[in-house]
Amino acid sequence: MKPEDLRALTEVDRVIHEPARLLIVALLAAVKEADFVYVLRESGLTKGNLSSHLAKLEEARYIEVEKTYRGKIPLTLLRLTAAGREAFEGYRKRMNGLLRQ
Amino acid sequence: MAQSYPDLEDVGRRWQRHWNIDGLSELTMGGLWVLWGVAFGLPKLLPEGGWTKVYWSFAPLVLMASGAASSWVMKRLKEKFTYRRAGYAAPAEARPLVRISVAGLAAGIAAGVALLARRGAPEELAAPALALVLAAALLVPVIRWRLTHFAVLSGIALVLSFVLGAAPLPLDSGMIAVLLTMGTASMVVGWIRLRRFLRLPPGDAE
Repeated sequence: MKPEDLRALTEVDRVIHEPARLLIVALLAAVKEADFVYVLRESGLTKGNLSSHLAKLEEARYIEVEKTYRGKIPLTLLRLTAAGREAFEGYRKRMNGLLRQ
Repeated sequence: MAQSYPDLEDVGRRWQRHWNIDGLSELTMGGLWVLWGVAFGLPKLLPEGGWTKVYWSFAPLVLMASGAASSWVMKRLKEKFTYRRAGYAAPAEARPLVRISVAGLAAGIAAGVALLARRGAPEELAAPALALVLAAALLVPVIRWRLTHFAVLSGIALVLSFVLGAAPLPLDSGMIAVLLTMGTASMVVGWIRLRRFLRLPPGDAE
């Protein structure tokens, strides 16, 4: 691997690079919006673990979290922001490029 | 515990699998086909003349509304059965290229059918051809999203195509046979999957 490739590897987005967060972002990238139960079920994470990763993604402004109700049941809706989608696409391109070399 | 990196291609396909997890789409689609089959078959049971005219004055409106009504019914059913158990996910809007491709494919099939009709192709071919198109279309979710149960419906459509090819029926009877057979098969598959899905405990809402 060339030195510039190694440098590119160190420039990878650390927020998304963590496997659990990458999974969450990839799940949300495939839909318009999803609720907490969907991401919990599809990711296989525990509630606490998922909440903590969601907080980090929200802090990075990669996702939007909307607390609402479906009837009388609390509902947490999750959406990838434009910045999150851009970061995910950028990460994918970068990793694909690195793996191809 | 170390977590391995997700297969992003597979993760991207999960939404389609989630949408079909409960059998409701097969059940609703089957219900729609049966409704169309009955709607086209009913005039055969009515006496010739006034009643048939009255029937065809409102039946097209019901048929046109049935597509939108089935979406509404599915949404209500998903809210009642699915979201509490498997969560809610709204589909992403289709990319323009996908929309254009689907419209182009539909236009191509319609143009092909019109060309065959113009060249005097026997009308008995229409029903087996429709069954064959359905068999091919039902393979798409099997290949793209690994929804293997659609292979059963595709197989039934293929067998139906051969049967109708070997023992041709008049155009209207053939179409009714395709709609009723495929609709019933789809409803049975959907019902089995829904029953299996309802055995899952409700997920904990956050």
